[in-house]
Amino acid sequence: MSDDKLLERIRNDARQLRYEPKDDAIWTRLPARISERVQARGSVAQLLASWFRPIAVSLTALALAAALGLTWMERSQNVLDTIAASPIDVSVGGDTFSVAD
Amino acid sequence: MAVAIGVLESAEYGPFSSLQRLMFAVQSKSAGHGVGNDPVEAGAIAAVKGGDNRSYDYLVSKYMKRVVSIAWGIVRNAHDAEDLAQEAFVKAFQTIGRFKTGEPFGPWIYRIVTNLALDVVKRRQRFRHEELSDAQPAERRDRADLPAVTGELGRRIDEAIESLPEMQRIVARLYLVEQFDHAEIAVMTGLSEGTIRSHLSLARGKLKTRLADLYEDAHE
Repeated sequence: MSDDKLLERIRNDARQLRYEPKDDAIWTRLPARISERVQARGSVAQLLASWFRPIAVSLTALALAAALGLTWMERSQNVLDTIAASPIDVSVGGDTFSVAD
Repeated sequence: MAVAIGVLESAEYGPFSSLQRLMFAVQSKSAGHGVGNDPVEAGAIAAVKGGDNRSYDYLVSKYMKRVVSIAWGIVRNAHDAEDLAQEAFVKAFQTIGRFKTGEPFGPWIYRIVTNLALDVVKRRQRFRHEELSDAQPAERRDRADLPAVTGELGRRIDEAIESLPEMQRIVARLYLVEQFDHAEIAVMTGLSEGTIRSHLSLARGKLKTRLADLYEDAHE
């Protein structure tokens, strides 16, 4: 029998050596302790998910809306300034009138 | 509906009601995940990630026995093993945001508990001014919790494994008792697969000598 087969035989027999505590209460005590700690404080990621992420999304949306609004207002102002800065000549009955500032 | 029926009929689900299991399965299905062949597990992970801490109970109940067994095999102390299992599950919960959706939870929690247990072993050794590569096995003889059904054969194998140098002992235990393969042990311990094979090869030679009378035909 090869060394590999020997190891496989030992492995087959060693399966029974898995830990089995005599104190079965561990299987109720352990989940209870874990649950207590888990319920007490959520993970940072969960905190982000439940609170900060929606707030961050809202703030981002507000900032985007404000930025778009400002851009639009600036562009409108620029159009007015351009119009105001450019003299417009109006011809009426052979006379030319200039509209400027 | 096929998913729900499959879920209710498969595996052991501890204290979870049929409704909870069904909800996990539906969540998993709708999220399009598949954790191995356990849609309930994927649903539970998705639920925990979404802030439902109660769903974590399912993962704990599914994996706690194996996690405690791994920890005990490494530290050989019932109280330490229980504490380590607790720490491992809490740590996994706290970092579940980093857990890749769709991956099985088992290897992840096994790796966490193995690392925690190895830290304990290293601390013990530092305290004794020893190193992991020392030829002398560490003193750890907690056999009080060996399964009651373990007979002479089991005791002999346990003694032989426990007499190995530390890392050989840990790798041999994970391979022989916990039945992990080389790749899984490599991931759990953070060692390369080659190193795992090397530890196992050295352990095999020693086990062969120490268990020669039990496996006489192995020498033929």
